[in-house]
Amino acid sequence: MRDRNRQVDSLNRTASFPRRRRITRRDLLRMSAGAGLGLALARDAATRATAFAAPPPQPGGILRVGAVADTHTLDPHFSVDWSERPVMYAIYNTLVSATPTFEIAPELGRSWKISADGLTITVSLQPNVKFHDGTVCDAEAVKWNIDFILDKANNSPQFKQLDPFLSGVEASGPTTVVFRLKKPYAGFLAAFTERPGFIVSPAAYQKYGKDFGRNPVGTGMFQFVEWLPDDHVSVKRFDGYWGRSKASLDGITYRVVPDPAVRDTMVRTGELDITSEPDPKDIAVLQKSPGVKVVSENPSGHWWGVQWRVDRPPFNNKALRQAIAYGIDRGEFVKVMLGGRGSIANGPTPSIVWWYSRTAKGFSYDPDRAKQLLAEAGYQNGFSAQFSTDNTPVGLQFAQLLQAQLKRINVTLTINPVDPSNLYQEVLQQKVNWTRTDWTLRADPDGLLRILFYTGNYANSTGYSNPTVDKLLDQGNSTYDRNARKSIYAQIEQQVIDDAPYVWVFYPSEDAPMRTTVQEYAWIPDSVPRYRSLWLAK
Amino acid sequence: MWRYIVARVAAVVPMIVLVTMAVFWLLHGLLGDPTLLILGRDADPQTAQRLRHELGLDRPLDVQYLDWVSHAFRGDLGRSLRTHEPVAQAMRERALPTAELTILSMGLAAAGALVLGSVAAVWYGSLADFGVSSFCVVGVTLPNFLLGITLILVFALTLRWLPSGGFVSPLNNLGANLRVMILPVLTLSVAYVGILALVLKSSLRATLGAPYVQTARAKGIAERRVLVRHAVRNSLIPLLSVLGIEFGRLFGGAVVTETVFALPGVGRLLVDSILGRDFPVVQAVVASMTCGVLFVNLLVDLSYAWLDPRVSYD
Repeated sequence: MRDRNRQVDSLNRTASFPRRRRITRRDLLRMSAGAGLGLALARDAATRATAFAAPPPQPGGILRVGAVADTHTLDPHFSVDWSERPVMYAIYNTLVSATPTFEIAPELGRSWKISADGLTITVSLQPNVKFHDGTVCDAEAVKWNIDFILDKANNSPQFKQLDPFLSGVEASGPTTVVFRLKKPYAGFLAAFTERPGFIVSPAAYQKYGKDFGRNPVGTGMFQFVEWLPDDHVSVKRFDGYWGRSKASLDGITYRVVPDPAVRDTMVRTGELDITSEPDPKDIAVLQKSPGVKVVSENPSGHWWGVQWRVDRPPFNNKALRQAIAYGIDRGEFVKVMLGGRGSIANGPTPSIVWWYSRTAKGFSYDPDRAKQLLAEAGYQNGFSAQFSTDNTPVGLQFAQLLQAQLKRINVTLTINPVDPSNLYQEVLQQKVNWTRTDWTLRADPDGLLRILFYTGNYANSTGYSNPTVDKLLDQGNSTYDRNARKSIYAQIEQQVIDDAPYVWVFYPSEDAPMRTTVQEYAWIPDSVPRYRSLWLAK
Repeated sequence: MWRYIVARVAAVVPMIVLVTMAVFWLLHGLLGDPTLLILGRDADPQTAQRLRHELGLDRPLDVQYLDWVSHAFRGDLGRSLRTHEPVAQAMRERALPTAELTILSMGLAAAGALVLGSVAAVWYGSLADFGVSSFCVVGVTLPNFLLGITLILVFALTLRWLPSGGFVSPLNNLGANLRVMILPVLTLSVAYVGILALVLKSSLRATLGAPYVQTARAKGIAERRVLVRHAVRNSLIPLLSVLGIEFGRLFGGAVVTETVFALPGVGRLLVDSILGRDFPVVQAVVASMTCGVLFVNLLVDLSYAWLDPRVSYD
């Protein structure tokens, strides 16, 4: 089932990313419908694709986006909120970008060279790139941005992503940037597809100071126009854009509409062109609404599960953790909680990224095995524990379903609802033990696996420590050989599944309801919608 | 009367000190540290500690509070911890939608209550009274997020008469502004129409039976004049008392209404800042809301004297 999803999904995404027109899934369906059922026609698919190719992007129009939450800053060096990134991807370029399978693609950096010892990475920048304020985006500007993040005095939240491996950066020519690494680090480029990679105008930064976050200046396809807090951010096409493919849209307006039901309604009424995070209950209605379509990614790069302290009783007992892992009916979660819009998760890596392991084996629902393991763990007569969750409707629903499922193996849960913004702090402070959790993938396997599983890492909130995993993580990020890395991460995946510091439950699908006029939307597994390359059919 | 006003205004100061102090301790004591929210949940401890020190969050709470108070008295409300935006500017930008929403809703609620409460009292026991009372009870009990969504489904999605949400400044386009404000104002005011109309109904019923109303009728004054000049006016005092008290609650309703209708108001700023532990913003919004509620209650108290000449503040 997951493999099938993967094929459909990769087909869908290949179709719409990058911006060159290729055959879309819709085109294929249309072709096979038009051609009848004859298999012989399949071999002509490539030829027919040209005949049925969709029209080229049409210029013009303002894309009206329903934003989930307001931005707090448009300064990428201080951004932590997810809601800010869709706007930043329009205003800024990153040093390199991520494809829908998390491959690295050129952006401001057009090519890169890694030295034999893996300690020096030389990036060649695109020539003749200008910021929206007219200043030049050259190697010095890139260096200024990286130095800013690395300067401890600036307290950039991005510091932690670069400091562990980057010792310094030099501009060795107008378009050549040399990065000096503390140790070989294979996730190097992937880090620059995310927030540390956004390049801002140093001149504008110096001009606006602390107010730069309200007056952002980048090199992106769109330049900032205005931001009315809690209402909207608008950007307009930047005609001096350096790239060959310019924006088709005249502009984008991100309107903040916090209530999902209202966002969904506004797409149906045509007040919005596109939004994300719909109310799951609305999706069926949206799909049936005239002039509306829903583009989904299933599985997504966002997993839900449970976590506990593996160094504290009662969960310092591996048999107990595995018993509970066997007692969870993931299919029922997908069916009941997600209404079928998601996929079961057996481990931390979904099938959509290159380091996914086909061989990793997770826990299937097996109540008998669960009871047997409970007995082995010393809980023949069952077991009671507190389960903490965010007190949101979905958080509570998750907890209640888990409570009902585990009752079947004599595990009794007391639900402890916690304010969502407190939950993670309580986990870190060890005020709670067993909790619901969710994380989104980074563009490199080392990103999430290291912070969650490396002994003593700042985001290792389960107390997990396995020398084998630590060693494998160190090996995985010190080689630039893709195949070697893939096999290392497959071993890590299997080990953490078996050790069960987390039990993975599902990947909810990512859904974007939009008007049928919106073309070329594609999800990236980091779940951040990019709107800059879309266009509107007239 | 001036002495009364001065005394009341002076009493506002300790009230604000008490409220902000309570908010300060609650936020810091119960919710804790904002640095993880500023740096992201995967923040490293060293950066978090540096930031905590830089923001002065590692000082004792009383020092932090006194520091805030001394700056506030000099007109400096500080900058938001998350956006670095000056707090006064953040509030100024969001004041208009909230002011318009609350004033129009209170106005509509008071006007609606006057009509409905009078109808129910004058025709007490009739079908009209039953209808008004039922409407009021439904209005009071209906959660306003539900009412808001229902109004959007009917008027925006099905009939396509009005927009679902958003805000247009009345200074830019008054017509468009009123169009977007119709549904939020209706949503917020329905509960208050209900409460105020029921209060007016019972108060007016008592007044209509009072000897001075009988006397007025006996003098041959037209019934309408008896009702408007003598009965309603004298029944307004309980209505205004409730209105003053309810004004504080109106802000709570405004938060929900602003969220449903995507209005960029102070209510949403407050909730967002509480969730983000943005202490300077929360403090300033709470202090100004307290001022607003105390000011409205002062106006209510002063209006007693205007409505009933027997009341004097001298």
